[in-house]
Amino acid sequence: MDFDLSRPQRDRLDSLDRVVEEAGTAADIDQLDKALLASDMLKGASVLERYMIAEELSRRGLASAFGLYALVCDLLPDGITSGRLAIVESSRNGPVRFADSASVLVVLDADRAYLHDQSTITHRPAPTGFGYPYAHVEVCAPGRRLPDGDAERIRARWRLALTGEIAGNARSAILKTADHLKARVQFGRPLATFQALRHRLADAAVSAEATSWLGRGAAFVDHPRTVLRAAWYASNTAASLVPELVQMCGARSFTVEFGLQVFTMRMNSLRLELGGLDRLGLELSQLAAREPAEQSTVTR
Amino acid sequence: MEFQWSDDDARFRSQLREFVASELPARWQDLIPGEEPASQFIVEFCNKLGEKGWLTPHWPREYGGTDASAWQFIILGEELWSAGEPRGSQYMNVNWIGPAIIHAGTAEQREYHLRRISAGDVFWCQGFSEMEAGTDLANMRTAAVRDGDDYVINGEKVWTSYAAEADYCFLLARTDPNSAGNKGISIFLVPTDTPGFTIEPIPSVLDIHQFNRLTFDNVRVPASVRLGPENHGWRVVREALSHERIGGPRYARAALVTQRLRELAGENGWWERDGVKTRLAAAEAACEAARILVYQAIDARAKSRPEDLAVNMARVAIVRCERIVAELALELFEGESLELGSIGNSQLKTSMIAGLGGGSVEVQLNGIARSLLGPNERLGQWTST
Repeated sequence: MDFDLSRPQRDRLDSLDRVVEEAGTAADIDQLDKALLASDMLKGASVLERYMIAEELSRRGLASAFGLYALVCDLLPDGITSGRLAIVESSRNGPVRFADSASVLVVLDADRAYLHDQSTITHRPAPTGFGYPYAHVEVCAPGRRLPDGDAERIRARWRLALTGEIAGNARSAILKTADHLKARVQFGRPLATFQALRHRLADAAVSAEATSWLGRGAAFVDHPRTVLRAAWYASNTAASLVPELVQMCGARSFTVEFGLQVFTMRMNSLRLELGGLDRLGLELSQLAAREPAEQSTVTR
Repeated sequence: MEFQWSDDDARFRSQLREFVASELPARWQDLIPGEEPASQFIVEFCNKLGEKGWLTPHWPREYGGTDASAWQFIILGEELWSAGEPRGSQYMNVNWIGPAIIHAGTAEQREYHLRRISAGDVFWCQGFSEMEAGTDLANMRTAAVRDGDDYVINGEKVWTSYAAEADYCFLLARTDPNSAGNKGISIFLVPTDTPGFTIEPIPSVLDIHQFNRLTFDNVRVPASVRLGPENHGWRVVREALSHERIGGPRYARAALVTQRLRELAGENGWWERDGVKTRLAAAEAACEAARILVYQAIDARAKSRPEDLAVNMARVAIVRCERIVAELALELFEGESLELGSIGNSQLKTSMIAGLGGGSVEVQLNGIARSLLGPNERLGQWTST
């Protein structure tokens, strides 16, 4: 066990820093993603390192598609991806994140995965206000079927990416809220001096912290059930944090000029992409039935 | 960053499990930790652990430990807490009373107490809370007045666990009557059979746990039982309490109960009930969240870094998971939970204790809030990965 980044892990995040810094703070996300895709950032990267990249990009408030790409690209056939990718469950409706610009769309059904390029799908932009580019997708020709078992692996990595992205957004949203509570004076004193608010923010911070570490631990193990448990926790964190942090920041949290919405609206969208808590709980039960743990010795 | 056990730690857990399986009667698996606080069986079990160096593996070898890592401290806690805590109240000695004596004790105190604790021969209780000083320990009034080579102690401590079986009390008393807050407090290692020291049970609804009132009526103790410098006990206690806050790995047992509830859901056809799968997922995730945050704190401890913030967060997560698992058990068993000894009944009661034992969980929230909002923010881990 070691909760510190190793030297190679630190080096990889440093190289992420360099690419982001070189792209500049005002860089277009498309340009940033091109720079990230052109880098050798993922060469020899572990799943945990890929997860850390997804978390870090989100923590910085960047709507990059590279986190998702980082976690899934090594599961796809060699040479298949030359740009962004998007993933969708065939059973679910609604617009798909990054589908407007993805060179590859992965469509998952219960136990199969299909690859589509721009020649087998059509898409139209779907403005959503959730902080990422979305498009409605229509599949117009059969995709390339991936080997059995790939669907489960890709789904788990997709969930890891979403967990990391929620963790990164949650961390920054809490710091943003903390800054507000320290600066905002009401009833003659900073909001940060009201214990009711202090405890609520502390409680939110525990959820955010646990989300990060559960995600990192799940990335290290890279096993569907562990990932699903971390994803459930992340989804629950997003669902509970958004109204809490918005409430603490007040009406300004709805405004673009304040900036909290960068994180809160993305948390909203990411948890919806993960699927509802009931859906994830159902699947966790199915996985538990398939891989029962050692029988519990506790009887009461 | 990596999340696997070292060969040494994995071997330790495996050997410990084998030992528990061979030495512990099956009934222990069903006990809530603390339900059997002290007994001849516990003494014998702890003696056997002590012979292997497993009662205090994380202590220095010279004091009866094996110089093992802080990781073995938590492995030990997880395995024994999950098995009904067959160390009884000894876990307190092992987790924080002993380390406090190592840290602040005289050579004589170390020589006398540490060998006995690491051998499993002795039970302790802690004399902290008073009627007017619960979470706000700094408001305590129990007084120890210097009289020549002795101190004379007067006052009352309440809600004390494990006192009826204890041989010693780790007592906080005010030694400077003109002081306020956390200044002017000293620690005393008081034998419970000292004349004037009486212990009486306080009736409660928690049948799995007994609370006691400790009365000190002109209790005379030699100055040699004072731990650490006079009037500066607070610093020692603060350090010791960080060990206590995560010393009982409640999440490990809660995870086993959750697993059992999952099995029972299948056996009893509860899957058709709305929300069961979601709530099982919530319970499972909450237990693992508590586990990983405790591990984060242990990692800091193993590296001799400040662990306060990590401990604060871990403790909040532990309390949450106990409550979530209790609610799930009550939801599933409904009226059956009224039966003493049932899963719902036991889990309800242990979850009711979770937020208070080892200090109010609100103190942990205060600590986290201080990190985020000041004064004296400690944002290191929140501003970078």
